Amino acid sequence: MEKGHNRKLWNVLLLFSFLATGLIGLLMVIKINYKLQIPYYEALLSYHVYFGIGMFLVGIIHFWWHLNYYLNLFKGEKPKEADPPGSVQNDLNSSDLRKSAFLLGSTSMIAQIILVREFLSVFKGNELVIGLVLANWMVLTGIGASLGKHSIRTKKVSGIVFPALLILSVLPFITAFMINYLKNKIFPVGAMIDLFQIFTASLLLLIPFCLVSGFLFTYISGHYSEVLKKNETGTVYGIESVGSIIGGLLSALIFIFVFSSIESLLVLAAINGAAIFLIGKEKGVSGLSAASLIIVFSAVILLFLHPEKGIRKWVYPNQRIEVSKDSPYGNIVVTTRGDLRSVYTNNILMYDSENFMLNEESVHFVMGQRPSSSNILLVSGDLCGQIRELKKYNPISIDCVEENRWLLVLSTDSLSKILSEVITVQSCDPIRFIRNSLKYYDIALLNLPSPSTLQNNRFYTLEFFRHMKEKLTPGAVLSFGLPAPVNYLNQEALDLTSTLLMTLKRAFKNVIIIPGEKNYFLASDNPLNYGITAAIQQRGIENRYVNSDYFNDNLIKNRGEAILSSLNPDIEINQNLKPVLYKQEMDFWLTHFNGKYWLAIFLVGLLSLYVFMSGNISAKAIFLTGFSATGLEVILLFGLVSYFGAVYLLTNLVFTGFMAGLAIGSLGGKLFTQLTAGRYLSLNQLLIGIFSAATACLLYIPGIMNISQVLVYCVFMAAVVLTGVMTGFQFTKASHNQTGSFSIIPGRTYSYDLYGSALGALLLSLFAIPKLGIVTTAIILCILNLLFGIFLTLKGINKSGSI
Amino acid sequence: MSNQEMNKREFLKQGLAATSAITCSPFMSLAGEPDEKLWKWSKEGLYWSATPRGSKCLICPNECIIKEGEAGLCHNRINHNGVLYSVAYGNPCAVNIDPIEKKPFNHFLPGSRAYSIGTAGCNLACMNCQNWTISQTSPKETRNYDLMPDKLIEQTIANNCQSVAYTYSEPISFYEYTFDSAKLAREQGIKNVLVTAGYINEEPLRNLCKYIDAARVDLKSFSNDIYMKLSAGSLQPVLNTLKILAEQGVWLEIINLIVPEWTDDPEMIKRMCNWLAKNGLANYPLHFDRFHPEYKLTQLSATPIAILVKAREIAIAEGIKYVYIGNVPGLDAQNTWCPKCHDLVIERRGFSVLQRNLIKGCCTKCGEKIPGVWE
Repeated sequence: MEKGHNRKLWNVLLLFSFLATGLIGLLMVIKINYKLQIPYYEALLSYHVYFGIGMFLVGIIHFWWHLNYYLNLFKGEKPKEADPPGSVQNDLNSSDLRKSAFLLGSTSMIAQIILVREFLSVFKGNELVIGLVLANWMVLTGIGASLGKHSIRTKKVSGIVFPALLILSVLPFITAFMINYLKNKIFPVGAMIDLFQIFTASLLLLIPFCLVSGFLFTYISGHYSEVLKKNETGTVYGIESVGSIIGGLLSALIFIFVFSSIESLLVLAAINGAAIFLIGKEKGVSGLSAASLIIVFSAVILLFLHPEKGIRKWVYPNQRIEVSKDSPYGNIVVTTRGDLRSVYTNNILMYDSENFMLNEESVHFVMGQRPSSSNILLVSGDLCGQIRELKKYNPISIDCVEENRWLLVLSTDSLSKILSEVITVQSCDPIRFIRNSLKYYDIALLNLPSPSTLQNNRFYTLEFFRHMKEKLTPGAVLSFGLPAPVNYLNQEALDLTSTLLMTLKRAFKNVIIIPGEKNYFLASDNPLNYGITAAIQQRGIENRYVNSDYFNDNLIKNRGEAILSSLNPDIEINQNLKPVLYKQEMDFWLTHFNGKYWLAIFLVGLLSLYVFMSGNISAKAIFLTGFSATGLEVILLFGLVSYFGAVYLLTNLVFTGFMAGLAIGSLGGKLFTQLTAGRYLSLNQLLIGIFSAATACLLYIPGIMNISQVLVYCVFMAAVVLTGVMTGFQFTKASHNQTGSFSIIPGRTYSYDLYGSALGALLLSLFAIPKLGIVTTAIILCILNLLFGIFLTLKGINKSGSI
Repeated sequence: MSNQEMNKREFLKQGLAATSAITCSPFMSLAGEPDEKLWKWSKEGLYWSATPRGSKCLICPNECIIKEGEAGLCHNRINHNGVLYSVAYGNPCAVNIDPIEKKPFNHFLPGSRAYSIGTAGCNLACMNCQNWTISQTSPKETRNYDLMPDKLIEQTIANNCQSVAYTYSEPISFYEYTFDSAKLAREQGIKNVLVTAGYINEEPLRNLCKYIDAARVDLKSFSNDIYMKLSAGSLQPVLNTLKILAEQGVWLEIINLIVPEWTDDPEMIKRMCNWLAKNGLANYPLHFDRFHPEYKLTQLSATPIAILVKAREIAIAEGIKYVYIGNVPGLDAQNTWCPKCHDLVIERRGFSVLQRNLIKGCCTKCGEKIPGVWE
């Protein structure tokens, strides 16, 4: 839309909201002063407030639009005309600027990977938190990039670039420190915090890093273009992406295995400090060398002081931190308090040494279902505690599988005390283990975390249950427990339980739920029963907790049947490519807070609408591309995780692959000059639409599970890289199609790319994919891009970026 | 789109669309609000008064002033046409038959079964609430049973339960239902037990005491500040409740849930036990319960057993005679020991009584009277 039309639209909105607020306000003043009985007074009052909110939002947008006017009002100056391109010479050559862009990319990528993990491990380990933090990250960086448009163009560029890079070196460590320090200082000790608080906390904590990094991108791009006297935004984007690849690889392949999060950030500070010292030592920036060296030495000294445990102590007060380890599956912390040893993953208590009740329930509820069970598969949880209980049944074999190798390493001492020749312990992905196992089991006992993340959802899908059944003997029993409200399932918990039950019922003839400390789901083709204590007594098994003194079989039966009868048999089932359960788990989590999230959704929608409408056509194209690229990344990640697991490791690889594609696309984009930039934009938009549809098909390749794992990885990663290539290409062409000064072009293009990506992270990964499924989401992306591509093709784009 | 003036129709269309986007928000909000109207399960409140600001509920120390069409903090008391109603009368959302020991009561009809009910809503907002899906919502948002007082008592008798337990959420917030049911149960020879946080005003409490046989009161902490931060309540009203219940002859058992970082300070536990002893409550059982991560407090460890054992030692040293540890199976601390001869009076395992060395409420060895309702 033209700027003039856009302006009119927002002016109309401003007028409507002002008039409505004012008129209703006037009516209420009359009512109060003259004590009139106006019908629907309460409704009018709420409309007054809502229109007031609308007025406020439109006012903010208005303010943002006229920011320069307000800034100049205070300065008492008229807005400056932009300097003609190439008129300002600076003290950094193109090589220095390329190195700086590279450093910016690597720093941003490492900081993003580690800080998102920190938020996840300190606040709450679910995808909603990841989506929210990532969206905040991108929006703030976009704002930073946009602010860069207003940067003062000076000859002493090194005086801005190097100090800013130094600041970026230490900010991630400070941010991580603050996340850990403030969690229990600001919020109630040990309490989950709600989405709005997570949003606010992450927004505030990320402001310094993201604003500076966004600003610096625009600043470096602008000056790089000045040096080369042509628009080189795409090149800087490409170089920054190469930096991101290196940062991503360092994180995924080295840092995560060698250092903890805090240590990784110190290493980052030290490397960056040294790099800035080397690049900037001859530029004559006062104090730069000294500051760089101070950062290097401080980081190294801190590294040797092992600050990890000290910092984690704020999150786990009055507990002795025995271990704090970052693994590809999240942050593991083991604490002791007196005799109690607790194991946490991402700040969620996995198990503790004194909770034998859970071990007894999970083992005896299922073992009581069969007269004898020879081969048992035990997946995750407190392996030692459960093996002790399982041994009471003298099985022939117990095969234990733990996905997270680090959890096994931490239990090595206790496991070694109870191991015997009937027990095997392996660290590998449970799905892969089940698929490759040549053995058939009588009992499969799963103790996996609830499906609150993409990673965990795959253990509760129809596909998984069917695979599991293939490795079970006839009449074998599958069992797992999930935390649930004790005496009443609210609607969200009911939906979740219904989905699980109905998914299990597609794979097994009989399913029952036994309520205990958790709700235990038992599934088998043989009949199942609630006579737990009777079965245990019959075998003469002695338990501390699961026995007739604590459990009454009839009361358990009543409660179990009451749950079953309350469930919804028509509910959708959980599948790999339509992970409804993980959306339901998030919905259930949100009921802990009684928040009204419509306001947030409305606000995001309004802001996105404003951003989209306020951009010229090239900005709109890159907005849609950023939005689609995030969606495609998430879809491909879903596909990979659904089949292969290890979301943390894969996330890093997918990010890195995407960045590689960005670099190729943005740097290679310069070589395509046969057509106009506008024509390339429209063609590429169409291509993204077609590719979105192809991505959905990729997930349905028949027999994908039987193809070589390496080949499937390669195909998926190629798709990830291709997504990056198209996005990078679009970025270069969108920037070529922009007009304005060398600082305005990168600022506008980069910020619109990031705004679109942020909306994609929120809307697609948190709503569209779980609610509509991967295929529908891919089709929506396909339609959006095709429509926009056709629109661009039909209308044509001129150099000013408008139609 | 060409670079031309927007025509009038387009202008109005776009303006209208965007304005609708803003103004539709109230509808979205209203759709999610509970409907504060009367229904079959509404009953006029027993303790309230009209004020110029709205109906003031006088049941609990929150003393909410509820405006027309709104609900109180407990989610189940509304103001309809200037009259205060409970909308939780005869519509429990949780109904179960539980062993009485599960409440827990150790000195009240051991081995008996309680017909247990709870409606939605609570006048507190504990961050560690085990029943938060019931307590932090309104009866209009839960799936409820239709169980008016007469039917409740009928079911209690039919299921061979010796008592009705008003539990799960907070019986004080469904006061009218509790009151009428308890009165009817008393007439039928059924006992009434209250499982409560004790956050109630004196007058309604004294009136309710006429029909209540036993109360298990959750004394959440001995610090007003912690009460406020953890539960949105205050300490003094609960202490008053304890004294009134004892004075009115209601059998009383006190629970103190030990939550790490919140209520595990030994000094505070000592002050609490000292207060109980000084106020004539040393003969009533005190249960220290183990905390498990629940509701919002999921980023804490469970209570170390050593801390529970330490709390029990403190309580005994302060003169509390019957101190138990709950939520930890297999400990000796679930047995009753004679405070005089220190011999085992009742040996328990879970909800079973394994040994009972008690005749007419007295220790078989030394004859010391063990307080409680044993038959």
